[in-house]
Formats: sequence, structure tokens, C-alpha cells
Amino acid sequence: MALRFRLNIWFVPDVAATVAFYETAFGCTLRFMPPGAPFAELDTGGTLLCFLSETTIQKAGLFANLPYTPNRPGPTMPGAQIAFVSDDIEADWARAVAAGATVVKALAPRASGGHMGYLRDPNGLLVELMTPNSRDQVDQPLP
Amino acid sequence: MALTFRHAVWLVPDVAATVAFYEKAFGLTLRHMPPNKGYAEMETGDTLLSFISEAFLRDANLYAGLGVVPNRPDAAPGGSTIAFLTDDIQGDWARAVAAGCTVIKAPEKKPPGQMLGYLRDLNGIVVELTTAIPPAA
Repeated sequence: MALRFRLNIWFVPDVAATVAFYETAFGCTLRFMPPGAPFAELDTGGTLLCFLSETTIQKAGLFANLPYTPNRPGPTMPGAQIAFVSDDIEADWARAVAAGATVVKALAPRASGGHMGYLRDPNGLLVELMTPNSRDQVDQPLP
Repeated sequence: MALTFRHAVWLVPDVAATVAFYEKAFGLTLRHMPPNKGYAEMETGDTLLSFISEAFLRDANLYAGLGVVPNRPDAAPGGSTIAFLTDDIQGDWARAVAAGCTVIKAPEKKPPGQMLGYLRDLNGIVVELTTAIPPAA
């Protein structure tokens, strides 16, 4: 009865292109991607950041053909985001923008200290970059 | 230049109700929720499953006014899911359904040998329960 939060999966039109972007923009490492790139897992620790192609969802009937709001770089986005903690936020932000991430809200000081900002990837996913917060510093020190 | 995947965040109408639901349906433990209940983190290891309320998103103008398609049980979900790994899929599935999850697709055996099914939570977010892929014979 112990559930582990193992996968956070995002539906995208092109899995291989998304993996390449996350490697370039965020320095992520690929863990698993079968031939044809229907699905991919990035090596992100206990919970894997994953991408699943829209074509595969349709062909495999994965969600019993439940309609969903696709991820696109338009004026709206589905109500979810991911956040990365950075130990060198200026450099990590610059790398992401250089790779093609679009700025939603520029890096700014946080009320509780440190900095945070929001970007979007080429699929329109919202990606937050932030410095560790005080709770992270107390009980989850970065390596 | 080392980024840690720290939060998977979902926007919901009611953070406290969502936390209570995830405690009951999935047995998760709350890690942090400030008094205004605009935000919460569940204790899920390296990556925290987090919730932000729509009111807090609006009041704090977190995304610079970017439009968000809200998560609702009677509307199409967004293009993403949360997947939990279980070692007791019958028990965990039954607990989730008893707590009010709706079934998208009941657990079935997939070709590599794992059992996998899809549910929706109280907000309409898609949640997967899966067993581990067995080691290759």
C-alpha cells in the first residue's frame, strides 16, 4: 500500500525533439527511449520526468481515448508545471534561454529569499527555475 | 549548472481538499502547507508532488498573466499525468476508487508484464497506478 511517485509524464508531439531540448536547455540526461521514440524517461532521480508522444497515446488507446488539452506554445497552457532547483541560477537560466526556452517571467528575487523565474519549452510546458528554498536547505541539501 | 527536478506542480481550485484527497486515496503524507493554503507539497522523495491554488496563482500573478486551462473533473484533462508505482495494485486501486477517483481504464496487463491502470482525481487530473516492469526472463 506504499505508493511511490515514480513518473511525471507530459504528452508532446515529438518526444525525441523534446529530449534533445531538455538535454541542451537544462542539462538533463536521457535514461530510456525505445526505437521510434514513443516515450522517453530523463534521469531525474526518484521521480522520472517523462515524455509520451501524442501519436502513441492515440495508437495504443492509452487513456481509453479520453480527450485532453494538448501542450502547445500558445496563449494558454494546461494547469501544471515542473520546477527545477538550481545551484547556479544565472548560468542555468542563460543556458535555457540560449537553447530556445521563452521567458514567461524573468528571474526575480523571491519574498522568502533567493530567485525564481518561469520559462516555457517548445511544447509550451511551463518550467520554473529557482534557487533552493529554506526548507530545501534545511532537510534536502543539494549534492 | 546542475538542475534538480524538484517539483511537479498542479493548479487546483482547492489545495487543502486536494491534499486531503491524496492522503486518503493514495496514502501520501503532507510535507508543507502554509496557513493561507495557497500551496502544498506532498512528501514524495526527491521530486515533490505540489499543488497551487488558482486563487494564489491569480493573486500572486505567478505566471505573468499566462492563461491556464483549469483542471476540472467534467472537462478534458491537460496533457500530463502523475504515475505511482505500487507493489499492491489491487489494494491501492481499491483504496483510490473508494476515496472517489473515477476510472478511466481499469488495470490490465501490459506486454512487458506490468499491471497498469488510469484514474482521475477529484480535480480531473490523470493518475496512473502501475506495478514495476518485471525483470526480463
